[in-house]
Amino acid sequence: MSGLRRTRPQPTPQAPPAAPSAEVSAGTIRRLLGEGRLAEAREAFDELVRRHQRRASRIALMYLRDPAEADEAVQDAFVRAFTRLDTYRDEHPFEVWFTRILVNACVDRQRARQRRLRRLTPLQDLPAEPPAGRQASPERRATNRAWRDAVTAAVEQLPARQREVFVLCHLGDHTPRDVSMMTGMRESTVRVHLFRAVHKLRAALGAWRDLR
Amino acid sequence: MISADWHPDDDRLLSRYLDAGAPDETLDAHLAWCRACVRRSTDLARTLDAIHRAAADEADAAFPVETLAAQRAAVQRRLGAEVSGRVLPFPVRTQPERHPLLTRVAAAALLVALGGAGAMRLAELGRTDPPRQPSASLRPAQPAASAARTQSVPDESLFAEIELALMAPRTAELRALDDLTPHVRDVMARR
Repeated sequence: MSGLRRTRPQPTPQAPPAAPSAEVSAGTIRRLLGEGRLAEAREAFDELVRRHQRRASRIALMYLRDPAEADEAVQDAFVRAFTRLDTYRDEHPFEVWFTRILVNACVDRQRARQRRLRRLTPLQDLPAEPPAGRQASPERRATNRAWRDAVTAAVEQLPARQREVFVLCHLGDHTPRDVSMMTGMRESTVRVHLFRAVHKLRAALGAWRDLR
Repeated sequence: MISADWHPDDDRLLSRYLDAGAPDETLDAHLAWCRACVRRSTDLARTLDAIHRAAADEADAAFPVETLAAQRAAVQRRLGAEVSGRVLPFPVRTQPERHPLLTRVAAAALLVALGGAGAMRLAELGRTDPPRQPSASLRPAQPAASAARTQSVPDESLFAEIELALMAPRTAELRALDDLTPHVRDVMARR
């Protein structure tokens, strides 16, 4: 019955190769910074970026729906994390602490964009092709593309809190407990938002049941 | 005690899906024999996995390996700029930068103030000069002149009070403007 539980994170075909010094931790970098070993700290931080950037980019893209803005939000978050590493406490995983920074960066950008445009931003037209290396018929590719669009639209239709929790928990691969720490919501509240989000998504995507 | 006709709701199945590894013996025991709930659970897991794959595929298409490498390089560049920005001292201005229009306004205000101060001084001198001897027909009656002189004292005090009241800015926003404006008393004190 292991198929009934999620088994992420899974390496994707495009994932960069694992770095040999992947054991580097935020605590180590903080110590290096404290000792004034700036170059080493930056080098170690690069490994941390490599480890978390794909997941961060997914989350940012789900928030912002624009690859360029998502890229900038991720950069902002990493730079902010590095410069504020002295405030990081080891009792929480770095990923939780960093994702909070990332979410704030995304929300800041969302607000700035809303101020700029004062209207809804149209969905970004992402590349229509699936990731390279997957052989699929044109029909299958078209179906995949339509399915991805349907998922995106359904997630966007969720209320803000439900969307935030769903993106962080399900697409960001965080536990409800982690999301509780990131968002400041109670874990039970996170679960309630998550349940509601899943119910709505299943209802919205029910028509795809036989097509997938 | 769980009754035989008990079935978990979707939220319970979702929790089990999300909390991978967390034990839920009751649910596991139920799923061991209830094929309907296994189907429900499998369907839920399939849907969520498919949503996750769709979102991940979309993100991977938008962020290929080259983009991620460029992102790391950009972060490193920005860190370099950020850190050097912290170490370098704040640029020091050799001269205070002032807008030319502001300088002109301040100069005009100073001229007006000086002119006003000069006019007031002249008026005071005019009042203290010995009165000319007018012709007897034009000379005013003595009681009226003394009344005017006694009235000038409360007038001066009233003007002083008004000036004092005007000197104090009413709002915090005007305070900066007030600081830029030369006061008559300061100008007079410098002379």
